[in-house]
Amino acid sequence: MDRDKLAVLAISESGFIFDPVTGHSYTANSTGLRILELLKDGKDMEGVKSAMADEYEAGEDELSVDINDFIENLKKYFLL
Amino acid sequence: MKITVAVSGINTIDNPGPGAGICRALKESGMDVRTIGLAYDALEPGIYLDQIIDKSYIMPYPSGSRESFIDRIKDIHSRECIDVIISALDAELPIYMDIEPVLKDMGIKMLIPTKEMFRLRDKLRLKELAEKIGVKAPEYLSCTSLTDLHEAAKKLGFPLMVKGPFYEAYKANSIGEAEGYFTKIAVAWGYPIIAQKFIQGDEYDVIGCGDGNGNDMGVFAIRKMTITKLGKVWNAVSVRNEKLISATKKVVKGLSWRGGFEFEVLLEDKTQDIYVLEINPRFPAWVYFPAGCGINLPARMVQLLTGQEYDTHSDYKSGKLMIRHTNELVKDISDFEQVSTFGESAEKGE
Amino acid sequence: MKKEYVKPYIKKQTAGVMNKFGVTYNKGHREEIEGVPVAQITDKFGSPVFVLSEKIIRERYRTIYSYFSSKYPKAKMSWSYKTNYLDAVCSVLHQEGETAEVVSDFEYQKARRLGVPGNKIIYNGPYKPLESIVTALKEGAMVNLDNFDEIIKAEEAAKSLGKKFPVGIRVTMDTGVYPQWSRFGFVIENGNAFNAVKRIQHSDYLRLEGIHCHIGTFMLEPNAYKEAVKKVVQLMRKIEKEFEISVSYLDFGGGFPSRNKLKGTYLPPEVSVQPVENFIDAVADTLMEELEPKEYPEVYLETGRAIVDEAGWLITTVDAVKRLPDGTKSYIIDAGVNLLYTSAWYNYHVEIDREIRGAYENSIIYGPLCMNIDVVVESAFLPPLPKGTRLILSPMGAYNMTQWMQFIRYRPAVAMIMTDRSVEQIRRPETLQDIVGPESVPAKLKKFNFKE
Repeated sequence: MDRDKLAVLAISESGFIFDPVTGHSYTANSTGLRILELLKDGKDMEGVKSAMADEYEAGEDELSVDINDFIENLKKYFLL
Repeated sequence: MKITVAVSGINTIDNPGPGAGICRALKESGMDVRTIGLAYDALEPGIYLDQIIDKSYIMPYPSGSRESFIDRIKDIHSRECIDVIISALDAELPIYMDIEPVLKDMGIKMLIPTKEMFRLRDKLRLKELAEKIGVKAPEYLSCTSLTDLHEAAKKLGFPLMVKGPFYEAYKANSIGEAEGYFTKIAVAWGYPIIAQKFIQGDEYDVIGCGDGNGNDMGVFAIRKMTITKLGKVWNAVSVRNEKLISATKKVVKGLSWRGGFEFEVLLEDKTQDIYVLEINPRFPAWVYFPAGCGINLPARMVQLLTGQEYDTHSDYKSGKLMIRHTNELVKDISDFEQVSTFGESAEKGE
Repeated sequence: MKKEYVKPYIKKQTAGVMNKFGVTYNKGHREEIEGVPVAQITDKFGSPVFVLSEKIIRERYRTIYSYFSSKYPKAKMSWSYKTNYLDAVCSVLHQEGETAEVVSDFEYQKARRLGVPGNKIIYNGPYKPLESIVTALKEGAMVNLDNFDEIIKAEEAAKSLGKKFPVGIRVTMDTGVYPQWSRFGFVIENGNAFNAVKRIQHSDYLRLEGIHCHIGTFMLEPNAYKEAVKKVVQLMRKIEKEFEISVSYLDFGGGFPSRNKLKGTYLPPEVSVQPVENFIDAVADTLMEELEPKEYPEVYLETGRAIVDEAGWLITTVDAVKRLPDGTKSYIIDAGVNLLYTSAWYNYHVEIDREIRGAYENSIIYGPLCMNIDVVVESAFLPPLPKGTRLILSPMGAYNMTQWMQFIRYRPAVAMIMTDRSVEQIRRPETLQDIVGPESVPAKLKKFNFKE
């Protein structure tokens, strides 16, 4: 995964994300922000999943479906 | 006494809403008014017009549920203590007419048409309306399919005006053009779509306000000098045409009109007959123009609703010119973040 | 301690749909229907399941009838079978006093079987087989004729019974609404309706008794009914004078809307659909204006949708969650368009059975059929729904339970929540035997062997 685009994002705690290169803006919720952070740190899908499982009250199956969906979304927005 | 007035339609875009003009008129009225903008989108320019709109909130779309609309107003009211709402968009008026009693119980006042008045000015009932006020109505047919449009075109000929149920009107010179406009309008606003005979003449607009008891609170007439591609007036000159003014007063009297309105007419070149094109049941986007000429209808409306004295005269000069212009503001992405994430603008410094 | 988990989302902001306050159409959730927990219903009858409320049907009927009868002295109502002809639904309305309005021999037989006497049936529709007209006339039903061929057919039927029978005619007219339903009945404006009466009055076996019209469906403009009443009364006067008869009933059909969101309309139905009282005002007030007290005929309304639509729901279950290649969220549920005939023109109200946190997004709801057209809701604004979420779709009471199709799956149970909140099954789920029962296989096709 190419993380360059994630690295430049200006992420606000409010969930507002601004891409200074493209000028697009996004909104995300707290779990979304956390996944973004983990991806920015260089974690792969498995790494994101196990970190999330440690932090949140959620089953592994649900997490993998949701993280996969989230990453699909990032790809759709050309952020990954 | 400080009065808090919430105003919608603060989208001063290329097809502008009247909200910003209403707020400016209120701010310049001499009354102590706090203006609240009710926006539907975080990029409505009014949100960023700090001098005339004190604070803005994002509203749920009127096409959603009635409950969520009321809930949002309650939420804003709990913080702002709104005295008056001035609704300035056609698409939201039906919902306001519906919830006016609820708002009244909350202490929020509005001067808007009743459902019956609103139906009378329905574009599909122009003929009836024209008869009531003694003017003419161009021939038209309502269409819900392309087949209907083809039949209408056969009957009415070209050029043909194609009009949406709420907004947008286009002059089509061929069936191909007419179909294009028809589809475009249908996608955005649904049906029915009106096909109307084209009449050669000049377009005039009269703005007015009725108190609901048949009394007019002032009128002001203009000739449209230039219009945009969407048919919106861009430059205009004030006129005093007695025939037109008396027709407008008949609207107020005959329908016991309640609230602001825009009476759109066409004076046919050959005959100078008045053809009613439309009655918009709210103030038009150029509402500031009459306010600048001494006929401040938004202020009069607020004064009536809050039990104050108000003027009702229509003493203005002909030959006043309205020049609309565009302008650019410079803001920070964080201003946009505030609105798009929290649904309201930041409190502005006094 | 671990933090509470909410499904993650990220959304690009695009002009026009830039705020999360913008659309909240399916906000909130619904745990019960008329006081009965959704889970209790699905535990008992499975999913999907149609649910009807006895209480709401009765209330809607009573509201409409009492309003109508308070405004017009000879008000009558007849239950439109085609809207929902489940026995239990018809029985509720027959208990309330509605007669039966049928539009086919099947519906006629169904009403008779349920115990409705022939003289409490109105028989309408553009196609009535000869034998069914014979039965209907013999049993004293009100038969409204649609076209000249049908007048001749009715005459033949009456002749075979050797007696003169009263009949009605269906008429059509311009009431200012588009599209005009001109294919049903005789046109008033061009004299066609008058000629039909002339033909009937000249017959040795028929005489005119009443006039029927039905100007459209899901009418949004009450004024159309004013026009209809004016024109029908005018016609009645003309006929009464010309033929020296007295018309004993007028029937203004149905067509009143329910609070369902029609596709292609912008405003929510709570706002765009006028209350049913306005439609009754249009009929009753115009009648009172146009008629002299001595000439009051019986006046029928055949209101279907406005009574039963909002008394029905469909409980269905999310079976899978899928993101389409273009990024759109979609759900596959266990009920498809084969059960939901009205999905073609309504945007149903979608509710979920539990609180779900997370970002709302526009989602498509697909049915289970292996067909591209199986889209139940084109666009619903929903939070991220996990598999197993129950969706409650409404209003469902009108037309679905009559126009549904058996296609690749069995039609599900229909339950009725009774006034005392007990829940009764009023139609069991179909079984294989229900479907294959009418079939037969020719002897020489009976055997087949697959090669190893």
